[in-house]
Amino acid sequence: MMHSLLTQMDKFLSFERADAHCDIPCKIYDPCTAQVAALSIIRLMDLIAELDQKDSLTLADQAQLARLVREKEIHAAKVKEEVRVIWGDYFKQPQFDQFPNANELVHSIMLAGSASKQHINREQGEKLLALVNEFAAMFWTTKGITTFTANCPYPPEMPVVYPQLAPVPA
Amino acid sequence: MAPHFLPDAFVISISRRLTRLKVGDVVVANHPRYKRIIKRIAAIDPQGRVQLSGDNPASTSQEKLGWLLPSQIIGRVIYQIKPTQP
Repeated sequence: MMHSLLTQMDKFLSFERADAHCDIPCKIYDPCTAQVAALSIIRLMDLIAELDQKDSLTLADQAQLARLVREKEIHAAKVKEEVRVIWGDYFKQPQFDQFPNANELVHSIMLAGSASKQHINREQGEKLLALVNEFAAMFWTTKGITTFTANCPYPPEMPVVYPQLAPVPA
Repeated sequence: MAPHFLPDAFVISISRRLTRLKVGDVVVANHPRYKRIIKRIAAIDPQGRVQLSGDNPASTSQEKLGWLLPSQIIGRVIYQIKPTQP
């Protein structure tokens, strides 16, 4: 009741606001950013593999290779960061009770993320995507949302776990 | 600052000039980059400069927040009025 009263007073007194400044607003969690980053890693590995087909690399090719490797590094770090934030901030005891293997899965994502940085072979990227998809399915299930798997409509056109959300009536 | 301080909560703070600050206090501060923020005091150096940290692991890091001058601390939070549960 006190809070409602203050909320009304705020409308005309305009109390000063202070930000607690979390990285993202509380309660917005979505594994899609980690999934897109994992897809990007596979795409970057494919582009690196295309360069590998050449007999020799021109200077421009080498510059391109440097960019591809750098972006792969950045996106693997992003996968790890996005998963870490959901695991560290969203997952609480009820979620761990529902999925006792959550910690093990997150740790394996960390390891696969590192492997995707260190290597250029596609298997590492595919393994990371599979683990991140498993994490995404786990996450949506903890929210009572069913999931389905579909190939993403852009390269590398790999299977991605999507939440089955109820459409808003037009 | 979740879960101790919740979004849309109201807080009452006492002016820095009227109170002593100590490690563990929650304060409202005027940060040069992040503007008006609410954080917990992690450390106070001998000159009275204050290092802040967020309670939540997703908070902006202590390194990014840096050290604040005493004059940049607005007040110490003494009470929170939490939003009612829906």
